[in-house]
Amino acid sequence: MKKSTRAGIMSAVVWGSGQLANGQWAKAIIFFAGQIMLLFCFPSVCDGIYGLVTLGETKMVINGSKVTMGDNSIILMIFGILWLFVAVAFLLLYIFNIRDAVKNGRLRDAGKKPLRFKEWWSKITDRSFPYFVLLPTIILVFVFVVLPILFGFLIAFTNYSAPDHLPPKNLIDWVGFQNFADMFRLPMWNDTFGGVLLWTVIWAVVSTFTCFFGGLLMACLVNSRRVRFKRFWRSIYILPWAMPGMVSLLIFRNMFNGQFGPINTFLRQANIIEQNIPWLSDALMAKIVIFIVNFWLGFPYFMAMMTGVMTSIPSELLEAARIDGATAKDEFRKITLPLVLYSTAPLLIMSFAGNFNNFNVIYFLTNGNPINPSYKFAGSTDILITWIYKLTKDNRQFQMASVMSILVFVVIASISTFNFLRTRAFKEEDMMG
Amino acid sequence: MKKTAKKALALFLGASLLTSLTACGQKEASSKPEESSTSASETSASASESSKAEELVPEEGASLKLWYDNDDYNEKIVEIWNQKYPDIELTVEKVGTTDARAKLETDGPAGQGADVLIVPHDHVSVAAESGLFLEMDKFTNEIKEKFKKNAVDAVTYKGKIYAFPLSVKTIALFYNKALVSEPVKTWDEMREFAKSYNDPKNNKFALLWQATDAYFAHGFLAGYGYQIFGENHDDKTKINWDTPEALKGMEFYATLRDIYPVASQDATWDAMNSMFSAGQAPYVITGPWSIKDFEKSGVDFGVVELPTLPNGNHPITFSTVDTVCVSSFTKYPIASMLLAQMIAENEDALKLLYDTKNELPASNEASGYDFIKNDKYLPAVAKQFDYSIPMPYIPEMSNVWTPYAKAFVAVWDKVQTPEEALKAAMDEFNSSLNSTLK
Repeated sequence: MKKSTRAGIMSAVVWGSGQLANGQWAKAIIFFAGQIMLLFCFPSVCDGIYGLVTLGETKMVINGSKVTMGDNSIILMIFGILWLFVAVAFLLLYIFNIRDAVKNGRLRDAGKKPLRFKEWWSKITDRSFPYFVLLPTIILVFVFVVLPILFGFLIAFTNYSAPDHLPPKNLIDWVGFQNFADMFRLPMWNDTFGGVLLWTVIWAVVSTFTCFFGGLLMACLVNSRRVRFKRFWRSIYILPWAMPGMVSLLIFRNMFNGQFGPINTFLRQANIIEQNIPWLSDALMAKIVIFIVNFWLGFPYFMAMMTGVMTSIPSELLEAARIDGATAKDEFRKITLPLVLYSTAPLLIMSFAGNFNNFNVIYFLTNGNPINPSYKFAGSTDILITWIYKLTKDNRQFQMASVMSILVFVVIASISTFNFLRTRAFKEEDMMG
Repeated sequence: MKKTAKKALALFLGASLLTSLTACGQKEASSKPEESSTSASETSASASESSKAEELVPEEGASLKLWYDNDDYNEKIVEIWNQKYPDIELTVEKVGTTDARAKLETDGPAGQGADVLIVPHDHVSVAAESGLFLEMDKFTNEIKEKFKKNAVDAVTYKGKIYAFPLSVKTIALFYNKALVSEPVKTWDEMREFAKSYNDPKNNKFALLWQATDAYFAHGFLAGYGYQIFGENHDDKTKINWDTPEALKGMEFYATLRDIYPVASQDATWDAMNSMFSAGQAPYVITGPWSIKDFEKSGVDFGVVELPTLPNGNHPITFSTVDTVCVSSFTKYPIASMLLAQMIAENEDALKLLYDTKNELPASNEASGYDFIKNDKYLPAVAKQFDYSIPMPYIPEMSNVWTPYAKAFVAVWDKVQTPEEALKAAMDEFNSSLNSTLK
């Protein structure tokens, strides 16, 4: 038998034994310690994964004020996912352990000597140093980012909902794709879903483009050679961005109040209007107000970004163009615009994804109102995310909310990926090249 | 030099990883079902003894945690508790009443939850349904005797009592004494007053309120005999929006727009609050939660019950009852229940509640306390409370708010007739119920 095969098999049975055969005692100790740890953790891992699969078996028993706690499905699910991570980590260590044994066995087959511990250690610390530094972060990311996402995702495949499936009194169960089927079968969701989805898309597209090109326009104006006090204008226009969005939105809601808001009160007292303008009471008007307010909140970001890009355009380039007889229009169309678009287009996609889920603007400005008699549990200006929020908060239909957030995720992720892949900035390393 | 530093860091990180992995050898206690919990019955053997609540002795070495939303209250309640039970440590955390239940859902299983918490009564049923709160089985008779009937109804779910009623709230008519000498008694008088007073161009309105918020509007339908969820307000199959009483009430409600002729979207809390605080509104409808703000604004105001409807009835408003509950995750159920009892019944504790939060206690005895009797505003709230029903607490109530409010908006803004609006609301409610029940 070749030395590599033997070392591999040895390591597969007792971790680190292959390394010992290869004469790498320090590595052997490390891997063996891993196996000992696995033995310690094994019952917990099994329990955890068992809990994740069954989501609990013992129900809570309530007898007056005498309560015997049963299994809590939600807790079991969370710990189940955690233990699953641990199990995967052990699996990776195990595979690495075998591969390492085989690799060094091959070296010995070839008549070379495996690295001594000191050499190996300095190689690892030198080459794999970034991984060591990143390790704590990766663990934190798994616990605080991946775990909650996975948890929210898994809820879609359970019956976690009011009134009969709420822990700790009741257990929840896996129901497979039942919720997805229900989602499309129930007419109640369907009618509203179509309308809300359409408005969400319109909202995301229009709000992104108004902010983007509005920002471009303002940046051009502020950077124009004819404008004086550039810094002053720039500071003024950046102000909306500096204020907390929620505060601005609440103020706007009161400003646009049809009866008591300062806008209508002024117009009325100046005898410009007889009837109040229904800023927030009319569906179309409310949508327009949302766009206006969102523009006010959103353009400074793009303006600041584009001003930055514009100042970095070499002045020789513009000068040369002017000497060649380019007009201001040519200058903008042929030089400024392409350069600005080139470096900000990826942000356009990010902004689209952000607006698709722009909870704040809708929730604090109109809260989805005015009403739409043909919708269920949504108003005329509700977008998917605010609708999901209402469904979860008011109706405690967690499983449905999770299904819909998965759908929202699929929509956004596919649009974003498609666009990212097509953006020139991601294709070419250097535009000038 | 650089290299040694790198090495040291790598060693350190490697070591910390090792220790973090060994830590998983220790078994997670919380992933196992807890056997320990709450065997309250060991001290009191049979149910017949349960009426003698005074004999209960708290568990040895108990320590309790309380969640409530006011720091001043929390600080002083510990002193009151320790006067009676110096051995039992009480810790307090500031948690909003409407957040407490959701927080207990996550903190309870982790062993971080409160033993005693204060939540609005409509959270009690959902919590009882999901097994979060203990039944107050040892205090059933005491609670029935000592608290206002409406408030007892609010904490009873499926025949069992799950909490001590603490304080009650409902809406009433607030008036500015500088603009109104004698508050109106009926809605017809209010209409008359509005005719002469209203001037929409200058934002002058006789009466302001959140006109299409179902919490504020429900009283008018109920005043015409509409019974939400049946006579006991707990039958989810009887939303009753198709009854003639509901329709009559809705038709009357539509006429109230003469008094407050603004679009539903514009009849906001902010409008009501700012106009009254600025002394520009003669009447507003709001609840005791506004008293402190109005006092601060310097307006001289009074509170009376809502005017009577044309059929001679008082509007039957929704009321909210704050309740003291005991977590089912507690290790010391008896001590917890004794704390809940003290918070809801002890005069010092109720005085503290009044001083810090200006709240009207739910206990019968409290209406005799001097500080309540002599209060300028609360007796009127108490009077309106007698005309109120506790907001229905069955879990299906959460499916009611959206369609109900939508119906009021549709009627108020004349998008639909009262009949159409109620029918649409009924459809929406039923479809949400069906999807829930599946």
